[in-house]
Amino acid sequence: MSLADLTTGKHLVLCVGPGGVGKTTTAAALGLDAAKRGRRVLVLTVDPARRLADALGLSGLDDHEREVPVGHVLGDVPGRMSAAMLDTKASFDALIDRIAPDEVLKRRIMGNRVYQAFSRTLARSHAYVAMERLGAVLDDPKYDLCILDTPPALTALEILDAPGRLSRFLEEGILRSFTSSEPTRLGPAMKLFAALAGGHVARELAEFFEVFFQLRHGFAERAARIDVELTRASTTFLLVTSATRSALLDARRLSLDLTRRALPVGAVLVNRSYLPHPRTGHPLTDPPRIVPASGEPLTLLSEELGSTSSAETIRRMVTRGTEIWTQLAARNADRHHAGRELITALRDDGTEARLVRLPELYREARDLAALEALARQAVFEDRPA
Amino acid sequence: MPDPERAVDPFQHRLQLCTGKGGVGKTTVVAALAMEAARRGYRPLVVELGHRASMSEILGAVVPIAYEPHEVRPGIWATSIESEPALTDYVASHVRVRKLAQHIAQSEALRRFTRAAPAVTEVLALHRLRALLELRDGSTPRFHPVLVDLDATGHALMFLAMPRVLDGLLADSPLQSLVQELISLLSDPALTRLHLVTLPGELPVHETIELHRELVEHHAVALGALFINAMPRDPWPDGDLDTIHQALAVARGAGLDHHADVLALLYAEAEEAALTRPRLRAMKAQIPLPCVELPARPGALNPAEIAQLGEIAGRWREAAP
Repeated sequence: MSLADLTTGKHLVLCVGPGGVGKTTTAAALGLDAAKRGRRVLVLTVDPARRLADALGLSGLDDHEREVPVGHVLGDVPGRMSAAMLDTKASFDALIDRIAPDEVLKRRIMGNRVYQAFSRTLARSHAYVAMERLGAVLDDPKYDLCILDTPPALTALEILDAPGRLSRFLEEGILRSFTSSEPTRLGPAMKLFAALAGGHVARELAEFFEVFFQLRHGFAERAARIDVELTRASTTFLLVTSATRSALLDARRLSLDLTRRALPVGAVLVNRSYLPHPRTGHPLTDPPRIVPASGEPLTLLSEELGSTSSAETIRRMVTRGTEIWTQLAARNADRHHAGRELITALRDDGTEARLVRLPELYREARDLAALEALARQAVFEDRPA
Repeated sequence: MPDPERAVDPFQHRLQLCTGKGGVGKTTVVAALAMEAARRGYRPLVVELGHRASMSEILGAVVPIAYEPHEVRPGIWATSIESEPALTDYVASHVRVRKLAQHIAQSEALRRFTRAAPAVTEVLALHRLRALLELRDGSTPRFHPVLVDLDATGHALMFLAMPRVLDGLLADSPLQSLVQELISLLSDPALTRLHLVTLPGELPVHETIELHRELVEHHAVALGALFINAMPRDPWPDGDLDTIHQALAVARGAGLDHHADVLALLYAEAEEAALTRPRLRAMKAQIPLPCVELPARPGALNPAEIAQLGEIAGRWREAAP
């Protein structure tokens, strides 16, 4: 088994999970492993922190899709891998560019203060943009697999709900109450809004809505398209988490949210789930038996080392190493247990998901070799009986 | 009496916000500070922005954390700022009749607007935060300190940027005074401290340095302490990595695999520690804030262990002015 098995037969993979668990690195490792099987992969990240670039050795990763130089890793395999980091403003402007029917409307909306604030600064905009971009990317024949690394969201699946929310808001009845047929007057809801937030904001907002209203079909179509894409058999959600208590709790909430939307989690990837054995790379378990911690081998070692280390120093090293080993093995066991508990909890919630454990690396993965190692060391567990 | 030699009480600041990249343990630091504040006889209020399962668990809350502040464990109050009741509160502050306010806040148009428009949630949260800070019993503030668990770095920055983004749009708006007040509140060193939370790892350290730079350059916010969470114990205080490496090589060569494996693990841990020390020194040099290192504990923390962390966390001091 390897990470690529999780993406076999899939065209869209969404990595969801709490913040700080290594989602971006995991998404990149999934992408690389799929490319090694000949897939043409695009990894999209929407994380405001620029992490993927580090992992991929691409400095200045930006809104444009760029091919990751993976040739030396792939050898003769015809796979490819590209990556892009969504820039909210650039993506929003591109979206307006695509759906605005004419230059006048385009200029009006781009000059609108509310639009500027909306597209540049605000948290929820990331969610709109991610789903928007997805719509465009899925039509691109350059790729046969898109891996979306979703932003850590406060309300779990903001990213899935955003397009629908926007298009529902843009529905005629609602928006009509914010705008008015006469440009100088405000709709009834806007009058209320003016009282609550001020006339200036209200007028800018009214203009914003008015322009967006003209774009509503474009938004509605995209939202509907995304809804269809998310429920396809070729789409899967991978829940990425770490083994810390807060991450596991958040992960379960995310899974529940997905289950409620009939979008089940395909697998749970517990990142930094185990520290590998220094030689075999397997999860560290009980320390090797060294009995006694003195005697012949230590004397032999100290003789070999000459004057640099006394048998006593080596004995202390071995003792300390064994002590650390025991602690780390216990931590591995705890994390393994925590992962299994999550799988059991998900099953109680109605989701059968496979557990995949990823190693804890000493160095943050910042090159392709490290991503490869991460993919190679994935431990697949059978579903708990 | 204030002694110029004595450091300033870290709990004197009424509003304390914690931010940092996801997974660094912001919630743990907020909970630890709350426990220590309670132990010292303050009346702390923990503020979550949107409910997260982990805060009540970490605090060991005996009642659920809800929109209205409750004493969730002895001496500690907590609240979760949710948009819908915050919207009702906002409308109610402008429409005197509460029933009417509720009616307006529940109107489909406004609710859909709140859900779709990005800025609204943040404005409502800021409005609610101000209201919580204004709560008084007689002449004393009801809660002190108010400890806010800000969302991950990116969102926290957006949250802090809100007043500036809206400024200028709000010339004739009732929001203007809210925004002005929040700008002065966040930048008032007598009242507010924004703490940075990080981990000793390479990426968190790097991002914390970037976050600090961004905050200093673009945000008028009074900074507090730098908390480094989960500091591991030094695996090999003797320091000398070469000795371990030589012993490891000899053991491997002699076919003493068990010895070699154990030495290899010690070496990896010691090497990691050796890389961590200069990394943290460099971070402290670039972030001139009082720094508190919180020791790593194996396994999940129970409330007693959080309280112990609180005693350490509560020791941060800035030089007396």
